[in-house]
Amino acid sequence: MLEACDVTVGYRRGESVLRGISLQLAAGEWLGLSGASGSGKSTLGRVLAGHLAPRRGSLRLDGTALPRRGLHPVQWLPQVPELAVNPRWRIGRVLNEAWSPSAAQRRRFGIDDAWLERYPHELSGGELQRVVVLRGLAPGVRYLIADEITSMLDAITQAALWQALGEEAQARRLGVLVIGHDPALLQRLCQHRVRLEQGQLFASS
Amino acid sequence: MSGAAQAKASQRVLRGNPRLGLALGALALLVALIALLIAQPTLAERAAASDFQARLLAPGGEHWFGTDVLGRDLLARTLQGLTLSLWVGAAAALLGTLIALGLAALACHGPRTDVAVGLLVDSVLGLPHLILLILIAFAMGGGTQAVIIAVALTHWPSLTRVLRAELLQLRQADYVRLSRRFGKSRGYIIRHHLLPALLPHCLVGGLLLFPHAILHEAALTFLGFGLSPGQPAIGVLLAESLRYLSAGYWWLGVFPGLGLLLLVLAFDRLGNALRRLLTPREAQQ
Amino acid sequence: MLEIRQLALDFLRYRGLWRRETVTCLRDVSLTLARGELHAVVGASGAGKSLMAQALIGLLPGNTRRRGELWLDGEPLDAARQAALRGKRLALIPQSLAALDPLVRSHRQVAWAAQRGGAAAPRAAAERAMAQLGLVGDSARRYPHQLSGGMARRVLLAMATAGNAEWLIADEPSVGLDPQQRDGVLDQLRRVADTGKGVLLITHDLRHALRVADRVTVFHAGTTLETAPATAFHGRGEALASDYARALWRALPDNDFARPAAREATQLA
Repeated sequence: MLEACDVTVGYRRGESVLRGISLQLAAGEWLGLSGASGSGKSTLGRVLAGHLAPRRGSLRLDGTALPRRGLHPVQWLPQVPELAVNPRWRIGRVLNEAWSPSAAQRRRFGIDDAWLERYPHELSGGELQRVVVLRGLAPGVRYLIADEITSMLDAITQAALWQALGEEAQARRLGVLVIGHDPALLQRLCQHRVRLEQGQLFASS
Repeated sequence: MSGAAQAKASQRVLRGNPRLGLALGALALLVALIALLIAQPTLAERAAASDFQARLLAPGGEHWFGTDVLGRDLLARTLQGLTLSLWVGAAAALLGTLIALGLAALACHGPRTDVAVGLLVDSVLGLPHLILLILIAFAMGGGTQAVIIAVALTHWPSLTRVLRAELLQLRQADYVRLSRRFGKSRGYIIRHHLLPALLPHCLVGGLLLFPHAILHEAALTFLGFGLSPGQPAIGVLLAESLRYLSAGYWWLGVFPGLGLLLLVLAFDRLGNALRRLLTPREAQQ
Repeated sequence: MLEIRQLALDFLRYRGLWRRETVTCLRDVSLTLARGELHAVVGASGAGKSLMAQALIGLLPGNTRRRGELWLDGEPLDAARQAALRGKRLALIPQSLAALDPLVRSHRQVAWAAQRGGAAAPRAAAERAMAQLGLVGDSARRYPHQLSGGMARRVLLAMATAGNAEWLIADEPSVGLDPQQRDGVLDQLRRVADTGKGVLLITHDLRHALRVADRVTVFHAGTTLETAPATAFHGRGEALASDYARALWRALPDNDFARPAAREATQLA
C-alpha cells in the first residue's frame, strides 16, 4: 500500500498547489487522477515518485518510509518521452539504464530490435514512449505514476501501450496512478477515479 | 521522426557535402600546425641568426617578409612568434576552461555557492579586462608562466556562465532526475549524464577562448608586461616595429600583425563551425 | 480550393560526421481543402503531418527535397507565391509555443500579424481577434512567458485570425490543453471555417477533431490513406475504406480500446 498523508506543496510562500492531500494506492489497484491544467496533478505525481519533496506531510510504503537511495519503488512515467531520455545515448543504453528487459518483454511492448542502435531523435514519440515505459518497470518497482503518458499519442499506439502495461502490471500486481484528461480513457483503465480541484482531492463519479 | 525506419541504405555523397569546406579548412590548419612544429628547430635558429649585411631589407626573393634591424629573417621570426603564441594560447585556454568547469560545478552545488560564484563572475567581468591582465602579469613578474596564468585568470567568466546555465538545466532534466530514481549514484550521473553533455560546450568554449588568449598575450607583451623582449613573440615584434614604421619599414609591423590576425580568425572560424556542428538543430542544415 | 497533389519529401541528413543519407518522410500526400471547410488530418506523431504543414506554407528546413504539386485556386502554389501569400492569405498556427517573440507583449504581436494581413486598423483588429478568444484586459497584454500554455495557444490562434487569412493551417493546436481550453480552441477554428475560410486541422486526437471537422484525412507513415466525411467515423467504422482508419477509430477508449491483432498489425506497419 502506497500512502500519502496530509501532503502539502507550495512553490512560493503562502501559495499552495496541494493542500493536505491524503491518498492511498493498493498493490494491483489502478487509480485515475484528473483535473484542469495547473491543478497540481503532475505535482502530486512527482511527489509520490520522490521527485519533489512535500513541504509538509509524509509518504509511506507498507507503513515504512520510502528509501532515499537505490531504486525507487515508485516510478514516474512522463508525458513527453523526448525529455526523459538522454539525447546522446542510443536506445539500447537508454532501455537498459535501470534494468535489462528480456527480448520477450521488449516484444510485448512492441520494441523493435533495430531501434536499439538508434538515437532517441530517430524514433517517433510513440516508439520512444514504449521504451520509456518499459525502462521504468525494473524489478523492485511496485507502483507507477503514469503522467498523461499517452496524451500525445494516436489512438492505436495509445491502446497498444496500455495493453502491454496492463499485462505487465497484472502479472506483478503493480499499483498504477493514471493521470489524464480523457474521461473515457480513465474509465476504461481505472476502478476508482479522483479529481484534483483547488489543491484538494474529490471522488469523481 | 520515424523517418529513420524508412532510411534508405546510407549513401556516400562526397560532392556537394556542405561540410567539405569545414573539413578542408580544419585539415589545412592541422597541416600548418604540424609543419610549424616540425620546422621548429630550424626556425628557432633562423629567427635568432642576425646578419648585419642584410639589415632592414624589404620583402624579396631571399627574405619573403624582409629582415629587421639586426638583419634577422622576419618570416622565421613571425612563425616563431606564432608558435609561441599557440603554446601560450593553448595553455591559457585549457587552464581557463578548467577553471570555468570547476566554478560551474561549484555554483551548482548549492544556492550559497551559486551566489558566490555569480558575484565573482560579475566582479571579474566588471573590471576592465586589460588592466586586470596587466596587474596579474605584473604581480607575477612577467614571463611565459605569468602570461599564461594572467590570461587564464581573466578569461574564464563568460564560459563559467555558459557551463553553469547548462549544468543547472541538465540537473533539472527529466532524464537526470529519473536516473537518480533508478538508484544511480551521484558519480554515475556525473560521469554518464552530466560530463558528456558538458564536453562539447567545454571544447567549443575552449576553442573560442583560444584566439582571445592569443590576442591578449600579444597585447600584454606589446605593452611590455608579458614575455621578455628577447623572445620573438608577436607582441615583441609589433612593439619593436613601432620604432621603424615611421621610417617606412612597413613590413616589420604588417607581416607579424597579419599572421596574428589569420591565426585568430582561423581558430575563431573553427570554434564557431564546431559549435554549429554540435548543436543538433543547426547541424543538419 | 487548396490542393496537395502527391506531395513527397526527402530529407538529406548526416549520419555521423560525414556520411549523408536520404530519408523519406512523406511518400504520397494528397488532399483538398475547400473554402468554408474544416478538414482534419489525423495520424500518429512522427507520421510527417507537421512537415506537410511546413511544405504548404513554404517553410521547410533547408535540407529537404520536395516533389509533387501544390495548387491554390487553380494556379500552382510555388515558392514565390507562398512567400507573397504567407501571413496574408495563408497562415500557419505553429505547434511550438516558442514561435512567440518572448520580448514583445502578446497584443502587439497580434497587431503586427493583423498589419501583415492588411488590416486597416491593426490594433482594433487584434483586439477583436483576441476578445473572441477570451483574451481581454490584462491577459491580452502579457509577455509570452507570463502566459499559460492554453493562453499562448490562443494568442497564436488570434495572430492567425487577426490577419484575416483565407487559409488557416493549425498544427496540433490543442496539445497540452485541458478539455475546456481544447474545446474552446476547436470551437473557434470551427467558427473561422463557418465564416468561409478553409481550415486544415492537424492533430493526433481523432476523438475531438471529429466533433468540429467536416472531413477527415487519415495519415499513416507519410501517406494519406483515406479522406472520409467525419460522419463515416461511426459504429464499428463500416463506412471507412482503409483498415488503418478503421483500426484507429476502434482503438479509441470509448470504442473497443483495442490494438489491432498481430496479423493485422504487421499488415498496417
